Amino acid sequence: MNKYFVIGGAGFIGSHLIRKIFKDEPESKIIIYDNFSSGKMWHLDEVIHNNNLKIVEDDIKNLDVLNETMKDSDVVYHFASNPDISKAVTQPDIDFWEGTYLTNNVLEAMRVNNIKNLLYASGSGIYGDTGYNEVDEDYSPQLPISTYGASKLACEALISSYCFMFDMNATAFRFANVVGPNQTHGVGYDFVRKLLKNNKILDILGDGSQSKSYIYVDDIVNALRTTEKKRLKGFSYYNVATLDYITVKEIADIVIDLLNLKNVDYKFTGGDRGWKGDVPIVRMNSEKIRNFGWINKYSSYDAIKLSVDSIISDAKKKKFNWEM
Amino acid sequence: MEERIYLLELKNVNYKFTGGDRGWKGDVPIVRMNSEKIRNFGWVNEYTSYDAIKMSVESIILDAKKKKFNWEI
Repeated sequence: MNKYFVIGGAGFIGSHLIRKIFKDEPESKIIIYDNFSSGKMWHLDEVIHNNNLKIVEDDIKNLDVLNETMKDSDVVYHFASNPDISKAVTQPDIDFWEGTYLTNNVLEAMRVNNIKNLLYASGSGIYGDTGYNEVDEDYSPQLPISTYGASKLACEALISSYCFMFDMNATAFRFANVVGPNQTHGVGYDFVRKLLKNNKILDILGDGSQSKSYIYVDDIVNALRTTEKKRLKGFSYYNVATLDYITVKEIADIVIDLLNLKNVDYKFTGGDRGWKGDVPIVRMNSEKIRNFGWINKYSSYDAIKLSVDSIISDAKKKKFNWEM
Repeated sequence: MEERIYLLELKNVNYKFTGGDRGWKGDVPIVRMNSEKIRNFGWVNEYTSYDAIKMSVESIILDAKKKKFNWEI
């Protein structure tokens, strides 16, 4: 029986992981540590009454509380970071304080509590703007073009050093764009929100040709669990992406189709990317984790369709604080 | 007049190695770096590793004798 400590467990990926752990290992104990800045209690509706679940509503910045609550855990999952990549355009230090700094505290809490196993949600942003190069994990130079990517890379560097200096085992997962129920940001989410407010015009950031891999959250959770069970030693790192790609314009078409709208005018802001720091073309090689036996069940197209479906359904149930 | 000290001029010092392949956890024991990229700009190093160590140790000895460090001596 494992004792899990899931930081950001009320957030998008964290909440799916918790459901999966309880399904796989009903006896396991889970502590969620979340400041509920983007996490939501309703993300946990299915597990909230489980006696093996404890929720601590606090911030990682409170190192004393983190140290105390993490005690006796076996495995730490760390999902806490600023989820809004474009926010740094106006608030450039957000990815340090809500990213790098938090990871440093997580590692310190693990060190003082002698907890050895960490799984960390990194991202494709660490590679920077690599265009149509299909980057594998050892691609270099890794030159992020956003403070979000910089923070993920810095966190990986810190984790690598703690693994060596303090004999920890950690895996960093470099995710493509993760989508699915409970997502709190993202292009599909934005399109649904905008179209429910105005179903005649859709503002699209960039020229719509940005092309990336979108991966369904269930596939991500399977990648996390598959790797966790391998109990890898030292520091390891994996790309996790689909084998296909989809453009922003295609996502707009899917959203309009699922909302049963017609004659919507697309208004492109222009330029090759959504905002300064956005990587317009993402191509990732995920052979390394596929060699473990992991495969994605959903293509980018399926993933977007399923996630937009659930966003529409949640929006209609008024789960978001949207003006409509 | 500038005082110059080249060595501590000691003899019969016993080396006691703590052992292991590195100084501490996190120390990288072997470092090899290619610096051709900046040399192609026209940069060259004036001092070798040997020269650099000798000159820096000289200045450390000099500063230590001037009591610039809070060392017990």
